[in-house]
Amino acid sequence: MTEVEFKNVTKKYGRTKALSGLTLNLSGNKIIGILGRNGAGKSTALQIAAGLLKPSGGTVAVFGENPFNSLRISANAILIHEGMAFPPSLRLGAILDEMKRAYPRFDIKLALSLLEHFGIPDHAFHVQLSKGMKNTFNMITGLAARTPLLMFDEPLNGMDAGVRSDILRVLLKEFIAQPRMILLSGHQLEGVEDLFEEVAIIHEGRLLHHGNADEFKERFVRISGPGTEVRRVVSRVRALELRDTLPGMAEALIELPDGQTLPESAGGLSVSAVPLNDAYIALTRRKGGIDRVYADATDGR
Amino acid sequence: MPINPDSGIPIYLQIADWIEDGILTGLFREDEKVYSQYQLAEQYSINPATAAKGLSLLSDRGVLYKKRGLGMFVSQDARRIIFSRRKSSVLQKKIRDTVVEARLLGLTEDELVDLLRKEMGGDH
Repeated sequence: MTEVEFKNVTKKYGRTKALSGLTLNLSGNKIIGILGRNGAGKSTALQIAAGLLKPSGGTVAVFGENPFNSLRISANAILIHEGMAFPPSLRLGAILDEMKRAYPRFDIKLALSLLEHFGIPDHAFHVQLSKGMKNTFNMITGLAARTPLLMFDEPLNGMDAGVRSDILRVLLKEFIAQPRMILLSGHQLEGVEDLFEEVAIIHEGRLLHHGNADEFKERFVRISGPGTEVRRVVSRVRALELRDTLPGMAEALIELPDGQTLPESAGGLSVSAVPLNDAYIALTRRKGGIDRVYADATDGR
Repeated sequence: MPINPDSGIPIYLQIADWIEDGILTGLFREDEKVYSQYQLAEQYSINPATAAKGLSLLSDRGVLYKKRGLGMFVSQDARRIIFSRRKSSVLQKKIRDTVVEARLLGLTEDELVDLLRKEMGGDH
């Protein structure tokens, strides 16, 4: 069964196109990274999947059903994002009680233990929390909701490194204890990328790539060494970046053709792996990159 | 803690290497169960599918075998298989790297062989 299905989905806000024909099928109990630059359309896509927004065109199905205005989907899917508005008059503990009414499997004991661990008092009001604490609280409510579809949009913003790694461990433990589909969007992925089984990269409102995360990581490598050697390799494969480093030396980020690997020290080149983060950023970079833009704008002064 | 996400070696290969090391050092014995994909995932904060890929690589190599519903176990041949693969590939690569380094440093073949002998304790 396909849990989340986008077919040629468009979304316009006035004259701005947030999605321009997104087609994406996600299935299975997996942790999936939804990656893309700011403004690529990730948040819009997740809000449509959660039933919070109505698409301008195309069709969306979540658990086989149109999520917009669907009570069944709203009880079985949750989207955690920075803009979540909780009633300002309720204390955090009361918010959790209300969540329990909305989500039948909500685990209040887990939520309270996590709040305590992260030092968030349950008698506080949501508006009093710092940005990092707000996001921690929001993420806790999502994990405790135990919905079959769990979506996080940029959940880690503002968290300090310790909280980040602790809450990601909780996410992994929850996934193992209760396998379900977890979508995690973001553009800063340090510490998260090893949790993904699949990645979907959204770029300019469309799907750019969707596949296994380990395979994606292995497809991209960085080579560096004598410029002539680097250019010889680059002439045979797809290069996402190529730049001269020291005189006579160059560096390139290349995509290996299917099933091919480069020997580790081919022709005096050093070959190194590329973090998922760098690979997707290179994939979604505009032509020429920042060096070109700066050089053009300043006439090479 | 042997898993290093920044090392450039795919994580499932690091998992596989680590289990093989465990078999060589006696941490896992013949016909004993090794960690499950979920235990490995939790221990190293990685996706269970990545851990499973490491385990299935070892099962393809014949180092582990699967008992349905029970998990992965160390095969009787495991040590021999690991030794022969590592001798041919791992050691070969290390030797190649050493030779490259020695050339850079301008060592002669005799000098390199001398160094190797010393390291092996056969210096007489």
